[in-house]
Amino acid sequence: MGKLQLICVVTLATLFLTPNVQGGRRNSKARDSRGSRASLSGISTTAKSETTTKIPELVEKYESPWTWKCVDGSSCQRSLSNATEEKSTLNVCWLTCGQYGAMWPFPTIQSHLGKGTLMFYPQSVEVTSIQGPSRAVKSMMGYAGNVFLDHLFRMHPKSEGQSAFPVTSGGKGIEHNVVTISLTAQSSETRISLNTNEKYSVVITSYLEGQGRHIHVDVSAVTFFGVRHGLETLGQLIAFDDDNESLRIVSEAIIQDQPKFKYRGLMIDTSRNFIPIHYLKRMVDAMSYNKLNMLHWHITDTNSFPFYSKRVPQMTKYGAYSASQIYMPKDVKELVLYARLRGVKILPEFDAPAHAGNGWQWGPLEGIGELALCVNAEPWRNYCGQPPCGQLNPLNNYTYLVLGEIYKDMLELFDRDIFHMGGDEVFLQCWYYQDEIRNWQRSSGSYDLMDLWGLFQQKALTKLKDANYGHPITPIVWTSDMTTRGRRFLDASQYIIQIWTGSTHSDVRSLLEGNYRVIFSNVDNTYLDHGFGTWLGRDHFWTIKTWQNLYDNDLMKIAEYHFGENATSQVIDAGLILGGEATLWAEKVDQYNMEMKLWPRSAAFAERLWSSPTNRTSSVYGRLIHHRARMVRRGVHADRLQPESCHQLSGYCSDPYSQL
Amino acid sequence: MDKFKLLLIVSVVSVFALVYLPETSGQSYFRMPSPWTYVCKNGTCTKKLRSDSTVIQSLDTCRLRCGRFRAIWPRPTGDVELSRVVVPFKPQNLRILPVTAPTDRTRELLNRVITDFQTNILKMHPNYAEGGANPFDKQYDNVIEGTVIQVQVVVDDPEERLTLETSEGYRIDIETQGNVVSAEVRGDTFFGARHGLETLSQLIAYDEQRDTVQIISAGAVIDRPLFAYRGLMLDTSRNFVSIKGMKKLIDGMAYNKLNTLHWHITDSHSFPFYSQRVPQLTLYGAYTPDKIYFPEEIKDFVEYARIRGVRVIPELDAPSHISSGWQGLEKSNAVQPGPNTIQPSPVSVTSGGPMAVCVNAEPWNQFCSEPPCGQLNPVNEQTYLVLGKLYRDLLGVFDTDAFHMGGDDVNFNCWNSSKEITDFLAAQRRNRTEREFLQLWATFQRRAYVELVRAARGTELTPIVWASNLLIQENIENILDPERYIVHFRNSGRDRSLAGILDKGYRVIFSNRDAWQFDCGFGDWMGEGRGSCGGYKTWQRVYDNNPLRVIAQLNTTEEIDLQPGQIIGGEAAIWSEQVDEMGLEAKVWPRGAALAERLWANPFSSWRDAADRLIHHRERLVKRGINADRLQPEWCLQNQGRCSSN
Repeated sequence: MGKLQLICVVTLATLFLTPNVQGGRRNSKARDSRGSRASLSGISTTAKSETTTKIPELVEKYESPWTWKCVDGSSCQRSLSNATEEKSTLNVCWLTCGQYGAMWPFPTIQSHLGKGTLMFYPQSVEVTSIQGPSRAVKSMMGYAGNVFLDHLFRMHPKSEGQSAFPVTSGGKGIEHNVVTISLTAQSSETRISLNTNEKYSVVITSYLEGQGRHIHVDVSAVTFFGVRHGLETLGQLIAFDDDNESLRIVSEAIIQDQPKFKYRGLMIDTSRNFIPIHYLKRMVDAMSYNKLNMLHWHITDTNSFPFYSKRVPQMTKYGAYSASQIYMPKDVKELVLYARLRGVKILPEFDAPAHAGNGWQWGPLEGIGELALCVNAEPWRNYCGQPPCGQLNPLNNYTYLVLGEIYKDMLELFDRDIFHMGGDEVFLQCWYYQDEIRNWQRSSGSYDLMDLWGLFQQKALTKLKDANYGHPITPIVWTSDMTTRGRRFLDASQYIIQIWTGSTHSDVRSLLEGNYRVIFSNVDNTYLDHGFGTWLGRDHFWTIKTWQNLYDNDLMKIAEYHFGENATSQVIDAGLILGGEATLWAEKVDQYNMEMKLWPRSAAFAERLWSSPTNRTSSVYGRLIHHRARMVRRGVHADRLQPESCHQLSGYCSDPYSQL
Repeated sequence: MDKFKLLLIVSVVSVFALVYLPETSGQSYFRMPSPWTYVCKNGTCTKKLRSDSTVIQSLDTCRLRCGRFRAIWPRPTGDVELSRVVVPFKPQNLRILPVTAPTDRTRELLNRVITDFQTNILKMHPNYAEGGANPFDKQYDNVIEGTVIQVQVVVDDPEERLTLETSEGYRIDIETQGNVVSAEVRGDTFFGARHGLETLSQLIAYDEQRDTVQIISAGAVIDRPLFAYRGLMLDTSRNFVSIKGMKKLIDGMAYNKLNTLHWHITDSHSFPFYSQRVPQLTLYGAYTPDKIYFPEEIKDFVEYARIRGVRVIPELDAPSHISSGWQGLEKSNAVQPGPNTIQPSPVSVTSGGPMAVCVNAEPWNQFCSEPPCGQLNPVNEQTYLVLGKLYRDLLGVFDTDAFHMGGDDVNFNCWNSSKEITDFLAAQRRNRTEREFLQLWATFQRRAYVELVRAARGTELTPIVWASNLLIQENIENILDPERYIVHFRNSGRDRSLAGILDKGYRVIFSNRDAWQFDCGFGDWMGEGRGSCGGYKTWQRVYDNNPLRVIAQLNTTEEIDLQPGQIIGGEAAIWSEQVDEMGLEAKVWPRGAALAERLWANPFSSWRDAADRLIHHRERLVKRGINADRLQPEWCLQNQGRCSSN
């Protein structure tokens, strides 16, 4: 690849830098950037210093008395430094300590890490070769390379928009070391699907050249998405060295890796509370640091309708919380692209026929009858599972017309291969109370409202396919009464079922026996919103799902629970378990708190889904804590799991007596 | 279905599309003519279609005009008489009259508060951005342009340091004459006046329709807190929180009229306080060189807090909960004196053994309540010397009438495992019984207090200690004088030892862990469990924790005879094993607001009566820059009273 072309790619790529850098700046005037001000670099907005604080000069001279050593090949331990040994910092120690160093999630095929590290400055790093089958794939790789380089500059704790690294090292020769990177992809795929190959390899070699070392990194994969994961891994083989104010890279490494599960997702709900696009981008950033690849966007619900449908703008007019709490098509498109370049697919959900209410009230006003029934009905317990109530009117043909128009609007913006149709918590009583529906029952002779629901589902699917111009599209639905006793309406060769019931529920077994492909979001372990008290009433029912709950939510073991020894042959080899997804329902979530609820617990689930470890070894905690610190440095407001002393002195923070 | 009708609807749809579809280029959001309005009914604001209502107003406007307490949080304790008429104005037309204050110092403090007050009004605009253009900088109609808001602040009392005796009451009077709205805020002290300005800011709200702010046109509020001590405790030893992050915590406290930050600055995990007299503690005890609180920063912080009505009370926990840093005392030459250091005097370690015993001892559960272990050596004279130096350093940077001496979780097995201590007991012919160790502890406390008094150089300083089994010993009153000591109670509210403490006459601060501990519920940081202190404390639980009711329900055989003012207040604890700046605000707010109303007004009513006002107040906190947790879907904010479980 010519240098000129590379420059082109680089310029193009700078258009889409991470939101922390550019998005934040661009949106800085808007309300939705308010929370982002609480980033590490600018915690305070209101807290202006009353007087200029002068930090004593002493702090410059305050050299840490500590050094870190890798102990037992599993954790980095602090000890007093002495003159005879070379000092090491915590971050540098972690690079080569243990089988996996600082990598999260850990590689599944091969992880060979040399014991040595080399210093370099980020300005001496260059992507020298980009090879791929098409211009599109090559420019995507160039972009990913830029995101990677941006992270390198930001590893310096004092970096703020520009490099804080020194240019020379005053005799240490760091500036003479260079890093070259070559990126290679074979496939021309530019979108993530359930068939995307995400395998990659990273090879680091180094040799003497001129006055310094030449470090070469080869990242190769079948697809762009593999290459991107490879660059993510490479970023985890590099750390900031406080003592030398430089970066360090593992001097020799061979990593081969691929995920155990294809579907590694997070779900965000933007109907209970609105979340500005800027924060969804930040979520994508954090997902990419964890090689999660599916962002399931529960965009609408009964509470509000924030998706701007250009074919049916009445939906937002009546359904949005306010004029500034709407997702415009342009913003959605940009998010989809932003995510794709970070290895994440945005998977939209349009939940129906339940969980639809506000936004649908305008039917009678425009003379087309009720599109949704029991909207905001009281007492809500009679009509729905949680207020506000609302369920689509299955007997009004306009309902399907509008549905089809919304599907068209959505498919224009998102990938067209998979679509989440919702389908959960249909409250048949809501329908039962309607005269219109009672009449239908009498005339059709069908007294099981499941039939009506089934009819709805079939019609909705037809509308979805029409909206996709007849091209194949895979629908996903939540587990519900229909997946229990209405399976005749759900063709196993078409539908994917997202399981939100408990992992031991008998439906899990029967769905797999029915050859449905499934995604696990089992409520007993993967609900990230649990534990903050109920939003209805006083007391709390669910306790928090700890990172250990998520990490231990072993999909293989769930299969074994239901199928015993036959699990592998019947379920796993058949590829029925696509993966898992942790969900953040937004009753008590918005942009101001979402990150501390998502992270680092979702990181624990990411390793579960990528690496599928057979158990949780004692070294996992330390590596996770270290990974959390990395995420925080990159700007993610991840919650704290332990005192910092546990990070600095691994080991003592386990409680071997808690079982006693 | 009629085909014609279908066509019609499709064309209706496309007309809408033409009207509302924004240009795809550019960032121009379409201005949605909202079909909704809010109507005040039974004290709450209800969302209605505009076509069904005669009043067209936004939610913020409705809240300003609706309910007994309007949008004020915490609710006032005195008379609230407020007009339902609101007057729109532009913030540039605020005329702040020169404050009436007895001293230059109080005037200076008040002027700082007024600056914040004005900023908080600007922050009401949805497009407000710090450092950005004034979003109200535009031409309004003649009425708004001609309306002037005059604010007069009056204080007579020169008090400039908040103490347990400080009166924080205030009254606000608003009247409108012609195009001038006059608001007078009269504070009992500077602190009362700042609370008054906080309340005044809550009588102002943004008006979407006119794109400007509005104030209640007439009325009066008379208000004062029911408890003198309304606090939060922050632990900065388990995890460090930067001064910036702490200032944001102060901001949030000011918005809720909380008045005390109890700063648990050190513990066994790290020693982030920069001690000028014993810098070894910091060098060896700080997590990293940039996780240190320097004297200048702390002084600046204390002043920042004072302006916001908050006093900062430091805690130096002893004799337990010490470890990190104390190993450095044996290496007194390690610190090179810098321009701001005092040359550390070498500390002799020859007599009495080490100053800290069982440091990092394992298995930890035999020697301390949580790792890493460590406890001061009470039989080493040097210990008191170092303590005295630390007290002097702390009192040099804080400005406080009370000092938290810690005194929790003392582990006798730790002392029993130390040869110096057991030798000492043997030399005095004392047994190694619990009784003797309690005696040792009591002696330590007495001597530490002597050092504290000495460090205070004669100024009156109230010691605070954690409730412990030391305080229920017979005749402990002879060593820990109930006239002097305040006891900080953090056990469960059902723990009857509280009755014993009250019976001895100690004044008490409430932090009962079953309601007022905010770090609970995030999983056990060491083990596998889901949390060590009984799960997450919901805001409802926080709100309903009435200290007087807790005492009444203790179920003691004898009636507890409370002295007036014996319960001086309460505080919520944020122990920081699982907290740092990333999660701090979501864990503190808005539960801290629920605590604030409980301590300010101590209402008889339960959380149910406060819920709508609280979720509205939460939005205000967020607008002012606090990353408060979300309690409910926004639908509940817009449809008040409808998100209840029954």
